[in-house]
Amino acid sequence: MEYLNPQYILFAGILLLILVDFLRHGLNSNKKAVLHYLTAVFLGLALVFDVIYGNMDISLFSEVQYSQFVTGFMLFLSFFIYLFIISDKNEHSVAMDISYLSAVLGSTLVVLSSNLISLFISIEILSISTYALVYMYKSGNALEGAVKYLSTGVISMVILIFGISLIYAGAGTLSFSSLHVISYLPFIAGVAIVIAGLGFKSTLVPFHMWAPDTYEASKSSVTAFISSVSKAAGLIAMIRIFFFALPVSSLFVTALFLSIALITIFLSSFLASVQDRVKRILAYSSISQAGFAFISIAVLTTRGINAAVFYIFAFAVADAIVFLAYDMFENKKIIYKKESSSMTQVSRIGAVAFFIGILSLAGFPPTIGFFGKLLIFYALFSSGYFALVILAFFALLVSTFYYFNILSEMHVVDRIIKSKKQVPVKREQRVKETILIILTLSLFIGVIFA
Amino acid sequence: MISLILLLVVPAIGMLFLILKRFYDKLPSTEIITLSVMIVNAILFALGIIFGFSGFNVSINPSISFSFSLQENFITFPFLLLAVTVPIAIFLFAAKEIKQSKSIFYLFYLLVYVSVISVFVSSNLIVFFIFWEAAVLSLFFITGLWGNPEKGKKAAMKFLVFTQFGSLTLLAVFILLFLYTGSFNFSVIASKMSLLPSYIEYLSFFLLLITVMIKMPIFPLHGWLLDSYYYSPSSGTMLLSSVLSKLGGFAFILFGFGLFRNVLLDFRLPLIALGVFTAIYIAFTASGQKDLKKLLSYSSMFYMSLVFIGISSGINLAVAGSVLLMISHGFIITMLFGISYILMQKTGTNETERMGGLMSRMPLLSFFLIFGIFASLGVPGLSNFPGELLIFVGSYAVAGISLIAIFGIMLSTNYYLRVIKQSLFGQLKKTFAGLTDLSKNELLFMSFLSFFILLFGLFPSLILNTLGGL
Repeated sequence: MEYLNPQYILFAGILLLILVDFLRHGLNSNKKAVLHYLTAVFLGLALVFDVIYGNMDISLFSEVQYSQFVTGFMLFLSFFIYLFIISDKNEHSVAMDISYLSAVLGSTLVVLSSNLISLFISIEILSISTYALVYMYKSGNALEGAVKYLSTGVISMVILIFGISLIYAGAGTLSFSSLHVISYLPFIAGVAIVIAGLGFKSTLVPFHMWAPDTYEASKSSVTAFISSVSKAAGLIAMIRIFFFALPVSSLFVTALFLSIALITIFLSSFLASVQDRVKRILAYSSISQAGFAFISIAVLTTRGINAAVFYIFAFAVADAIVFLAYDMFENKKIIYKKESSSMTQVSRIGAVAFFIGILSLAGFPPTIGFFGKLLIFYALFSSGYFALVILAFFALLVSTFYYFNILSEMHVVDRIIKSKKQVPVKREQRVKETILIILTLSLFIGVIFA
Repeated sequence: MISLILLLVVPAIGMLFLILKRFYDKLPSTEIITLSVMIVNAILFALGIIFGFSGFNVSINPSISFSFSLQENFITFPFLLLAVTVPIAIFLFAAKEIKQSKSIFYLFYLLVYVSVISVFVSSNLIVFFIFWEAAVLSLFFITGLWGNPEKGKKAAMKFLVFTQFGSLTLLAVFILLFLYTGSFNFSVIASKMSLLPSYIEYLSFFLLLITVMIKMPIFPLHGWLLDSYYYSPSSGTMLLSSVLSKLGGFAFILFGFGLFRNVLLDFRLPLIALGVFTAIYIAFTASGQKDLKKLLSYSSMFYMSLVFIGISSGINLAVAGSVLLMISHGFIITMLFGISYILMQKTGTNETERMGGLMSRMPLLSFFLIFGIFASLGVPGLSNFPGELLIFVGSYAVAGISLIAIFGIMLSTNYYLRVIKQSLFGQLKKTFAGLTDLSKNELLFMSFLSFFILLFGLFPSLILNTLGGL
């Protein structure tokens, strides 16, 4: 039974898909749907086994206290995002299934890795498959987004491995458990460079440039995956390295972290409030959410890390909801803020879910976004950063402003209220709406994990 | 014993019915549902006054001590009275004003109603905060969607951004309290206040002060007031001025006076001075208004600044007076805003200069306008008088400066009498010859409110006796 961990399941799924696809050649290509369902089954199985047996625990990958929860919510989100993707009538190749599964595998491995090399490899698995995912839907400027993502991603990986090598030069080991003896200078340089490498993945300013373009270029349901699961993996990697592995308690590191977090929050809030296109606003808001999670990592206390893990969960769910809901609107060519009034004509449930997701991102009670912010402020206060919280309040105010602007001066609500006519609904839309309802409910029930 | 949760469950059932109403048309009309919910609640409240209330407690997440617990505290009853009765009056009025998407309007209306009640009775600070925010959000939608079609949305946005900052600082206070006492439960916190280091106490008090100053509002954080009062639908304005602004005073008494009393006593002179300055400043501002609704908005802020003076003096007497003034002001300002809306509907203008001689056409309305204005000016026997008296008597004992605010009352006498003179007396304009007087509904609305104004004017002890902890 000890081999029934989600990672093995996912890996077996990838191998099986490749094999079946190989054998299938020459057969009728209508059978593709079976493979999609097979992928979904593997994702679901992985989720179930995560809940029952926990993660795998071998030399390079080891379980930590929160990893079961984190992989659990990652698999939960990926499962529903995948169902959402395949409920579209578009043709999906089997390559997409495989890249999706590898992306999920990569992000769960990031959570578990206990060695810098295994961490690096997991991030690579995740990144390479997401580059493919972004380009898989050749819509509009998908190529531009994918290339931007690829080039910055490759550079960030190079930087990351450079930082890892500096840390190795200082410590002589790569295992997290033995990274405690390390001389000062290579350590500082290593930290700075590793943060640059991981910052790309988790879209911290000033390494965020690729994010809005890539988010906008890829299909929204893929963006939902990148901005929730993949970004969560990047942030969790930060926690692994800077909290569990490196003996960080120097003033320099704290100052560096806090300034990066504050700049991320403020810059993205202000940039979001001047955007015109809904998806770009959502992209910048997602950057600002990462900043909030990072500010909680930056205090480097157990309380802060717990708050960060919960907040990552909170914003990942909410981000997944808004991007998935926006996917339905995007198909009907709702691009600009001022067009958002017709959201309800596409799907009323979608509009309501979008609305609740945005409430959660903006941190209004009783959604879990509020409880996440509560925990973060609690962590900041208990470390004595009073002024920081007040500064964060101002950023939150700006974000309140643009979140409610997305609703285009509340046209969405207007229409939710006023539209009476029944729109004919297709079956695939029903599936999508059901997924959204389930995710939205998890926004309220998630409080019990706080 | 009446459980406090019933006061929340009944409106919740009403909201459920309003939602179901969209799918099943056979249910009774939205107005009947809303009104019956509020009347049942009022009856429950009356029964509770007679038989006493019992608390309610369900633990949700013990690790952050988040439990859904309700318990009355030392100033609950007067505010609960306000929150239970005034919305009924406002409803009689809203039923006439709101024409489109009624079911959603009443959904938001009941949401404001239930969240205000829950803020007054909740003893867990997270529950307090959740309902505090729910009230803000639903008022935001009421202003934005049913308010002025052009400016309403911007006004709502301004309101949201201002009050959201106040909510965040309040949240910071709660987290600080949790940090040092380890609980979000009000009574636990109150018993462990000695654990707070003094600088935390000062910090929390100033954060709280920002919340209060935004919510009441007090100079210099009153920027949102005029827009949101003016561009809301009239029923929204009534809710804002009669119930929502009281939340600020409630929080100030509950936390500022109840928990941080030492800090309050240290800073009472500057705070009273701030209140006095606001009072005078706003009285002057109101004197310059020609528009009746704007004038009433400013005068509402004037009375809230008197409340601020009373609470910040930190004397039990003056705090009791502030509670009394808040309750009576809730009734009076609702009535005055109602009259201003009726005048607007009938004459087509809000500017008092362009009215004139309405007394001859609308004797009943004129009676209630004069009644409301006199009540608001503090004529003895009407409900503002005992409150103002207690505030001035109490605060004079600690700072003679507070008497300057009486000058503000003189100014308000000036502009109120001007309103009476310009609108009611003088030559009747020909265009107004066909005006009709109050309808039955409006008469009911007015007499309902006047009953309470008279009642608490003649027997202020009814409220003062419930303030046992003061």
